[in-house]
Amino acid sequence: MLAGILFALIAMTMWGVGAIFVRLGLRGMRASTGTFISLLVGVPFSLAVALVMDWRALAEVPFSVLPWLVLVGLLNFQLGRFLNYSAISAAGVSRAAPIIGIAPLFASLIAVVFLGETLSVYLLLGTVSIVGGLGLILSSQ
Amino acid sequence: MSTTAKPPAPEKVVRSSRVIEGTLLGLGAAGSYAVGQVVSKSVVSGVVQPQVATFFALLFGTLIISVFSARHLRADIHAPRSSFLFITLAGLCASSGVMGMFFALKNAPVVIISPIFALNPLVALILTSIFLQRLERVTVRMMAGGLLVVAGAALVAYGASL
Repeated sequence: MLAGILFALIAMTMWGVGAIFVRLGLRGMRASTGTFISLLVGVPFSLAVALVMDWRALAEVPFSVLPWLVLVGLLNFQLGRFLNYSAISAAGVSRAAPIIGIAPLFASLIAVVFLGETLSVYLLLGTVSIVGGLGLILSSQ
Repeated sequence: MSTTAKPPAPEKVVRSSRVIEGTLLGLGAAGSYAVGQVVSKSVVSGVVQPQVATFFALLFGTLIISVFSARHLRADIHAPRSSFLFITLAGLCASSGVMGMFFALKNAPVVIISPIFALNPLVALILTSIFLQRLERVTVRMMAGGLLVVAGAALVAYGASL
């Protein structure tokens, strides 16, 4: 359990540090180039992780799932990361990072509207907190 | 003497429009990540292991963006070396973050892990205020807003993982 929390803290820190590097890197190149390079670096890394965790699982991917994985790749990595980098380049890390951080709220709202999941008190409280926070960030000079 | 308000300086207008542009792009990114997460959870999850799904999604995403960014890639080939270095480091950070996420999910319940992931904008805000002072100004209001957003996202993530 403690190891899991430690890995989660490492992941959280890495994502935060990554945003700083994006801001510095995009001073000299376009967001699309930056997105491509960062994704290219990630491919061998994620392959290594997949091989280490369970190499047999790589060969067991059903053909019918591949179009969905293309869609996930398009949404998460091509579009999501490109928009993420473009937002950091335009508004800076201090504004863009919290805005991008509201993805769990969107995901929960989509799940409620389209997948019939129940509207919990956590979602309501979280939404109020996020909207208030965004208001403060965007009204800051 | 005229009573009309002075128009804002052009520099400030440009900065404001960049902030609006960045906000809309950020909301687009959050929406895109959210839809990707929902698709992944409802279609891919349970059929393919998460680390395998990430590898294939990353591979397909890279192939698609290589087509769209080919023209810009040629133009950016002369970008400063420091930009290439920082973006490479950003890619490594993102990938090691994903790796950390998988190992975290393997070793602890989602209900504990998900809210921790949601705290990453706070790390970015703190690091910005320390290391990017010459590029960005982090105000108390922005820090308070960031805290509220992070707390809200952590609450939503916690609720979703119950």
